[in-house]
Amino acid sequence: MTLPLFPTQEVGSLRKPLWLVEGLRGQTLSRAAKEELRRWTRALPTVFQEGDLAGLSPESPVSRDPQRLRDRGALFLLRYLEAAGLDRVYDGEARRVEMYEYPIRQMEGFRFLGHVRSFDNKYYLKAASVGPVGLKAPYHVDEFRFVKEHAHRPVKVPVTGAYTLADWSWNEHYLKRRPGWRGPRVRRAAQRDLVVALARDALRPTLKALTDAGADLLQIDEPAGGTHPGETDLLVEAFNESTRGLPGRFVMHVCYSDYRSLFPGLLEARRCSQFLLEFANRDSPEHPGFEDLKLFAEHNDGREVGVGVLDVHQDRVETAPEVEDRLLRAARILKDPTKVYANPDCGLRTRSLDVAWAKLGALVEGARRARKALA
Amino acid sequence: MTEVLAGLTGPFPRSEALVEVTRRVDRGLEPPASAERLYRSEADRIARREAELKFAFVTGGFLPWPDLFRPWIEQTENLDAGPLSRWFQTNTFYRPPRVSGPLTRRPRGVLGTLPPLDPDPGGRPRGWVAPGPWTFARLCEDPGGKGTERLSRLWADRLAQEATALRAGGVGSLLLLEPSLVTDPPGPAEREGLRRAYRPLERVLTGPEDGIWTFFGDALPVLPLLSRLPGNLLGLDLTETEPRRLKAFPRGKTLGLGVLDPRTSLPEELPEIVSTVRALVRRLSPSRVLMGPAASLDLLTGEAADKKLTVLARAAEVLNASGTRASPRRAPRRAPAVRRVRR
Repeated sequence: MTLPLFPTQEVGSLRKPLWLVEGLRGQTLSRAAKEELRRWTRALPTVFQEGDLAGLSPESPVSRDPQRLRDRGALFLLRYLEAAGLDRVYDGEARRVEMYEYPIRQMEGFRFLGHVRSFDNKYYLKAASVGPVGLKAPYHVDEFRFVKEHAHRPVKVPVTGAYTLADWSWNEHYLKRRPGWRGPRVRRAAQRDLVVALARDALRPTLKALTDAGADLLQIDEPAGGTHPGETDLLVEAFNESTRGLPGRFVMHVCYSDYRSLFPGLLEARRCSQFLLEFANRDSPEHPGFEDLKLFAEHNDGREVGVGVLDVHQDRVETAPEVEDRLLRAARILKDPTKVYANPDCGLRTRSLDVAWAKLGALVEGARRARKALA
Repeated sequence: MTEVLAGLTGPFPRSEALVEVTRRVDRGLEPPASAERLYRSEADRIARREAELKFAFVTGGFLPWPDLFRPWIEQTENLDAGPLSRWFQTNTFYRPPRVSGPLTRRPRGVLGTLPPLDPDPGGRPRGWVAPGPWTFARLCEDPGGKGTERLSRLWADRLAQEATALRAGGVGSLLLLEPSLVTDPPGPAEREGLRRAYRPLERVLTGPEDGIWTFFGDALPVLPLLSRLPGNLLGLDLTETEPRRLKAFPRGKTLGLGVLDPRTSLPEELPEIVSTVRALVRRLSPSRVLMGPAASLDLLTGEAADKKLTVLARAAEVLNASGTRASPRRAPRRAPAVRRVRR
C-alpha cells in the first residue's frame, strides 16, 4: 500500500479502556466503564455490534475468559486507530502491562523491586538485573499475528529496545562483578555488559521471531536513548546487535532528550530507516525546539523523521492548523517533505481515550491540510 | 577527632501505599485528602526513622513534591512550570521554572508545601533542600533573555526571602542542591558573576549544616570556585568524584560526602564507606563530615533506599566509635542558628 505524503502513525501505547481493565480484574463493570463502552460502541460500530455490551457482562463467557477479553481490547484499539484515520496502526499495546514491565517479565535474570517515580504521580515497576539475561520465549509474536490478521492498514510493531530496558533497570548482576570504587568508568562497563546481553540474548531472538511471523516494519522504542549523552555508542550498539542479519525494516523512537547529544553517533544505527522523535513538547511560539531537526540536514542524513506533533502530556487538543504548521516547518527544515511522518510525541496512554481521539483527529486533519498546502 | 554525621540530602522514595493512593487520586477514585493524610503519616514515619538512625537533621522525605522546583514554582509570583524535561541523566522528569517577572514570595511559602513533622524527641532540627542559584539559572527557561548571572541573582534573592520563614519553621539545615555546578560548571568569565549572585546567601547559609550539595558530576574541576561560595558545608558526589584524587578541601567547611549511589539498588558495602571516609578525613582534616546520599534517593524504591540508609547510619556509628582522627588543623565552629522542629 502506498502511503500519502506526511503519513500518519501512532507511536505506541494507548490508554486501556475501562471495561478491559475492570474485566481483566474480574470486576463487575462500573457505571463509568459501561458508559465508556456505550459511547465507543456508537462511535465505532464496526468493532462493536448490538449485543456486545451484554457480551461483556460478568456472566458472559467473554468477560470470564481473559484471552478473549484481551483479543477484544486489542481489536478495539486497532479499530480505534484505524477509525481515527491513521495510515499505520497497531493495537495500542492493549495486551502489554506497559513497555518495560511486559518484556522484562518474559526474561530471566531480573527481579522486580517496586515502583519508582517517573514524574509527578506517574510511576513504573522497576526491576534489578540479578543474574545473566535470558529469554523465556520470544514475545509479542501472538499479539502481532492477531493484529496482522485483523488490520486493514499497514502495521508497525513497537518493541522496547535493549538500551532502554537496561537503563530502566538497576544493574546489580553485572555491577557486582566489578568490586572497588564503582565510578563512572566501572558503571559504564557494567552497563555495556547488560545492554549487549539484552540485545543479543533477548531482543534479537524476539525480533527474529517477529520477522519470521511476517512483521516487516518494527519500531525499536528507545525513550531512554538520550538519557546519557556519552552513551550514544551503546544505544547504537544495542540497535545494531538487536537487528543484525534480520530481514525487514527497522525504525527507532527516542523522546524527551537533548537530540544534539546523540549526533552524529546516532547515524551509525545503519539499519534504522526512520527516527520518530518528540517535538510538540518542546515547541513554543518561537519554535526553538524545532531547530534540532536541522541536525539531520546538517549531517546530510536522508532518513525519514517521524515528527512528534501532538503533546502527550497535555489535555489541550492541538488544532489542525497547528499540526499543519509543524509538519510544513519540519519539511522546510529537512528540505524534503517526503521524509516527514506525522505522529504523537510518544504513546498517548497518558491521555483519556476521548482526548487521544480528538488529538489523533487533529493529527490526521493537520496532515491532510499540509498535503493540500504542498499540492 | 572529626565528628561524622549523616543525613538525607534530598527527597526519599514514596512508599508503595503512597504510590497507590496518589495514582487513585489522579484517576479521581480517591479524594486528595486521602493522599494528604498519607503524606503526613509517611513523613512522620520517615522522620522517626531519621531520628532512630541518629541523623543530624530530620526531613520527612519531602514526599509531596513532584520535583525540586515545583514547590518553589507554586509559591513564587511570576514563576511557572515549563515542559516536561529530563532530570539530568536519569529516567525522572521535572518541569523547569519559567521566569516572567520579578520573583516574589507567595504568602504560604514553601514550608507550607510539606506536612508539619511530629517533634523529634532527640531535638533534631529540620533539614530542607532547595535548588541552588546556578542550577536554577541553568535549568530555567529564560524567554526574557536575562542571562545566567541575573537569573542566579534573582534566585539567590528569592531564597533569601524564604529563609526567614524556613528558620521560623524549625529548619536548621538548608542545603542548596547544585548539580549544575558540576555537570555544567560556569566558565571562567561567569565565575565572578556567580560569586556576586550568591552574595545575598552569605547571611542565610550560617548554620553548620547549611551549604551547597553538588551531585551527578565530578567536583574536582570546580573545587576552587565551590570553596569560595557561601555556606559552612560543601557536599561532593563520591560516585563521580574519585576519592583518591581529592587532595584538598576548604578550611572551615563541613565536608559533605555523597557516599550512597541512588542509581543502583545494590546497597553500599560498609567497609568500603568506612575506609574511604577515614582516608579522606586523615588527608583533608575537616572538623566535621556529613555523609549522605550522593543525590536524592527517590530514584530507588523505599525498601532499597532504607537499606542504604541503614548502611549510612552504621558507617557514621563505626567512624565515630573508632575515633576518626583529623589532623590538628581545625576550623572554628560557628554558632548554629537552629530551631527545634515544631508543629
